Amino acid sequence: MSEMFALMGLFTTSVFIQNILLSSFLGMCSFLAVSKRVDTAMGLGFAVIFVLTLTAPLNWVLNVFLLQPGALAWLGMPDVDLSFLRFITFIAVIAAVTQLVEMIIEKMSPKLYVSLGIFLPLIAVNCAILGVALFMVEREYSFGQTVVFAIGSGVGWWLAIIAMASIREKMTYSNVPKGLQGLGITMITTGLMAIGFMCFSGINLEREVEESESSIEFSSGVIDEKLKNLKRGEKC
Amino acid sequence: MSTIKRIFKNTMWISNPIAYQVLGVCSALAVTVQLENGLVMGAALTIVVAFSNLLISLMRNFIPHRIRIIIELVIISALVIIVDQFLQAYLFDVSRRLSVFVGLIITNCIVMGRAEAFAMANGPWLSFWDGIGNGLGYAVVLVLVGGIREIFGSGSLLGIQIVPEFLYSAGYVNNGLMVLPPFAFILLGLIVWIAKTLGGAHGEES
Amino acid sequence: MQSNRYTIAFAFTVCVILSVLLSATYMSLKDRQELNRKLDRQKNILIAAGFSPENADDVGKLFLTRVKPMVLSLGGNVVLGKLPEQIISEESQNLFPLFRISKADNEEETESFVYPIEGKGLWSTMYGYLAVDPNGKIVKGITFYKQGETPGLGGEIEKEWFRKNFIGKKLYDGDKLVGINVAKGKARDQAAYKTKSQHMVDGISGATLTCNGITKMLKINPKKYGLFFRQLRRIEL
Repeated sequence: MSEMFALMGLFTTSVFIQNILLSSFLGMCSFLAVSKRVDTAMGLGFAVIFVLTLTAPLNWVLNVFLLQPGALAWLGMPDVDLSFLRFITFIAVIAAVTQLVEMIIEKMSPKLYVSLGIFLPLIAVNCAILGVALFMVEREYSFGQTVVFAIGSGVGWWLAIIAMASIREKMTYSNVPKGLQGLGITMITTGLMAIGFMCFSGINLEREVEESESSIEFSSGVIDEKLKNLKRGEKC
Repeated sequence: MSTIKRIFKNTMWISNPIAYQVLGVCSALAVTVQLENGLVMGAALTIVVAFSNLLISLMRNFIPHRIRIIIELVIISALVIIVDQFLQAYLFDVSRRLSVFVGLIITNCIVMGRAEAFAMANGPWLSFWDGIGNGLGYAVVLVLVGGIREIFGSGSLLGIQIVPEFLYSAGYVNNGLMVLPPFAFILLGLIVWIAKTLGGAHGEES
Repeated sequence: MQSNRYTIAFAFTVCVILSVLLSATYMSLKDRQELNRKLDRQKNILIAAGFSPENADDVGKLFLTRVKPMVLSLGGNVVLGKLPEQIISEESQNLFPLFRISKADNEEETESFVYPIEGKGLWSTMYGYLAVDPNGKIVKGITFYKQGETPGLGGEIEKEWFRKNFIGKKLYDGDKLVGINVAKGKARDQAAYKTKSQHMVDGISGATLTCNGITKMLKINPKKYGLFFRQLRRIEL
């Protein structure tokens, strides 16, 4: 049950507290360019959620069973370290899934396809998607955590782009100076939104797991025990 | 005006990658806390875009349309990784400085964006210079943002203290907001405003 | 219009060419890279201990004459005949490296000890070396040789101005390991400074999470060597 709460905490953290776009600042380019209208933003947002949810678990499997040091033990080759192929493998997977999404959108909604323009293939280089994969490796997430983290980050990105699109649609009725229209005011708005999201930064929903998983903490735990015994011995 | 000059005017002023095409923004925020990192990133990216454009342009008639995104990306990643591997072997200190940027360069929208938009449709010579132009246009914005953030946020430039000591004693304080990423956004927005008002970044290619 | 067969053949060819290229590059450069990394680690051990080696020869010479590598077990005992580079990953939970810096004029006497430290930062795991006095209680130097924190913010931990502040700070309060607290902002502005200034250093503004990672590192890593130093003190009594 506490596992469920931990995952829910991770989801909430990914959406709000560590919003991949407004707190970690990944995935900016498409966000700034495609947030003019809410319907296009919706389309791109869902595409990003889709790509993230597919690629992150896939990359997890590839990392654990193929790339990380010692991964090939199941094939009888525990000494092989293919981690130098990590970047290119993750990117290839993301690019392949993006190409798939591009084909689907072209068939299902040609209008959306045209309005997204170059930013559809640019999902493949969306730093947010590679960033999620790299974070998952760095933080040593389990499969379940990876899935939740991917969906959460996607939803966070979607939330940010929808919010921006809504604001921009409303701003068409404001008197924005000519030079500031479009990109200029969008960047300033993003800055203000990011400052707003900074208010979340004090909240910590990720419970520290009681049995420490890192090896240092494990060894130091054993040493704590020995030290305690020593101290007891010294009291005689 | 010669073709190359025209390309430079186009890529750096009229269709500046950050100010007009809206590409390469993520890294413009992350690395511009100090001017030096902005310079390093700008230089590294210029080299990568130029050569990736060149490579992809050379292959443009052979790449099947349906898998072109993957092929472009994979070629770009391989290029960056090979360069990084050589740096780690022969120029270790340089590679240590750049290691954080390697990932940022591979996913930099400018590299992919220009490959798709220009290199796939133009010859190798033009593509190479388009790459250099875009890279430099990006570098200029980075230098501007990095310079401003460092002067007002840390009182220094390239690590050298610029704001004199007596101002600090008189009560001047470094602007902490400059050091935080959200402000880089606001700064970028203001730079775009000034560029557009001066007649640039409107994307009408000659 | 290109046929399916062409697409598949092209994709296959590109994969093969790139894999061969990447693997060949990696295999041929691997040893040189490992040598560079080893040299870099040795340089960092020396810098933490207070030396300033100028080039690879300096590093080699100093390491040979002044640094005595050791391997410790969980119980704090020296494992004879084993060198730090021989510790394989399965053993890393039970065996730890320690580097004894001997005095310039007397090989038997100890000037300081250096050991590796690691911990999670904001974006990456940070790796470094901590140099301590022969009692293991006072910091004599600290270096970070591998980290992937934000350039200009967390990345500043490698700069001398930040690392210098650790020199002379105390890891222990009496017999209790308290570590070093990297403050949020200037250490002297904190309330705890009045009583705990010897266990605090200035932080880096804008890099709070990285600095928290370092605070945590300095509370956990020294634990591994606690038993060794305790036994050392008992031998000297």
